[in-house]
Amino acid sequence: MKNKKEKKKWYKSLIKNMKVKNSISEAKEKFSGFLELPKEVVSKATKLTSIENNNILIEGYKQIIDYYDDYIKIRANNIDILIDGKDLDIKEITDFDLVIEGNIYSVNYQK
Amino acid sequence: MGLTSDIQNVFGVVTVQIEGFFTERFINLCKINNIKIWDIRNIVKGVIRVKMNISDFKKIRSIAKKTKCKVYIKEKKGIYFTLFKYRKRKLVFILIFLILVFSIAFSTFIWNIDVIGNENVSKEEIISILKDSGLYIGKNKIGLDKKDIVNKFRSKNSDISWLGIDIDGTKAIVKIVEKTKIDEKNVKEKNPGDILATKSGVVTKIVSETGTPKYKALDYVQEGNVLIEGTVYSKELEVMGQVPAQGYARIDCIYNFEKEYKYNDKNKIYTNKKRTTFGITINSKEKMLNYLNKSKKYDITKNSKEFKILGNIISLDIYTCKEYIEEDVIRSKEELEELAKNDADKYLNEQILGKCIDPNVVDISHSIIPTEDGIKVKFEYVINEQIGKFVERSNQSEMLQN
Repeated sequence: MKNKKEKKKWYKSLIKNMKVKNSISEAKEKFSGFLELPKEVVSKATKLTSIENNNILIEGYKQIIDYYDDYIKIRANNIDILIDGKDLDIKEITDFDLVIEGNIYSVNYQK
Repeated sequence: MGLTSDIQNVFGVVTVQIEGFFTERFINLCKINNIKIWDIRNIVKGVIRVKMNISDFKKIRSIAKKTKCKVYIKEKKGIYFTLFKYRKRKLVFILIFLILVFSIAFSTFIWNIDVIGNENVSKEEIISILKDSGLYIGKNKIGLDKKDIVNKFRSKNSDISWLGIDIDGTKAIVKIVEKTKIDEKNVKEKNPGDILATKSGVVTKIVSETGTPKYKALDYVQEGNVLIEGTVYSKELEVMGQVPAQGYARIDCIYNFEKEYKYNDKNKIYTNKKRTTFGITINSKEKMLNYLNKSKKYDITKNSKEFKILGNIISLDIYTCKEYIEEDVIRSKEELEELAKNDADKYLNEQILGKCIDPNVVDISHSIIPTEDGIKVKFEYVINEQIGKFVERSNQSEMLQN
């Protein structure tokens, strides 16, 4: 009996946490909307900037999962970014930014 | 990348080839450990090339062990590697050291002097005085006493009221302010003297700033007489003192122009032929190489250069001869009158008005007297002009003697 109760409690606390998290993110969005601040500054969002099909700047990435000559998979905060192309190089890499150069065919997102 | 990171990379950059199954992990670990890498190129799957600073190279070792990758150095660039290459050639290091020492040592000397603000005193003169007072090309900047130089300079040259020395690198900029000079007129007229009449005529106005006027309006004044005396008198006509007289007088002066004109005259018509001959003059005796045509007439102008040799004056002359033909002209009386008028106007403008101070033409009268073969023209001008010349007392006796 005791175990069942504990299980129930654990489940409830998880839901509670989820709710709190959602409410915080909603509040952040409202706040940024009210002050007209860019979203990626307030919440931990990823920003992609591409110059034609030669250059992509990814701000706010986490890590590189796959790195091939024609395919790169990058993990961002909530999504994975898949880049297909030819002769893909990582031109610059810092803690926060990543610049990819090469012949880019497509950019796909995966949740 | 930016400029600052480029400057950092001058010291040393290595291109590293990493081979292994987990190259992505290697890149992520580099990011986590704050190792800056750039220009990541995937050659084949499992082989990447990365550029990094030489200072970060040793940190890779642990990451390579973790990810079980092999590391090869493919390229080295930067000062560190070039110096390492030439480490056994001691002459290179000695030369670099000497260049550094000499460049530092020579930058402590003055190599150029610029003078700003001089107008009357020449730059060469200033530089020579500066040299005497301790500032010259090749002088060491260290221990240079600017105040001492300025004081010495000012004691040697009294024409300069202020002097400033700025040292900009190896260049000394000398700024100068010259003394403003009083006009020469005022300097001369410190001694007592009188104002004399330079022309004779009827006085219309006399203005004396200092001194006693000797004439009144409508008096006739002769040339050389004292207009304004430099002696000051009291009411009882006792001499109070001597001053330099200042002032001027305006007089009506008469000028005459007389000329005869003939009905039959000869006109010169120049043919465009020119001849040059040479000659020599020794003690005012002219000797000219004369090869001119005696049947033709010439206008001769002389250009000469004088030399003094053993007390004799010798001059080399160049004669330019313009050939002309005389032509007889018969003029009527009216034509002659017009010619006379033009000549008189020319004389008035050039000879009279051009040489007077502030002239005004008061009156012009003319008379035409017929002669046997022409006319005689007389013009009389009355000109109102300013006269007066300051002469010192000591110079007046000399002038009278002359």
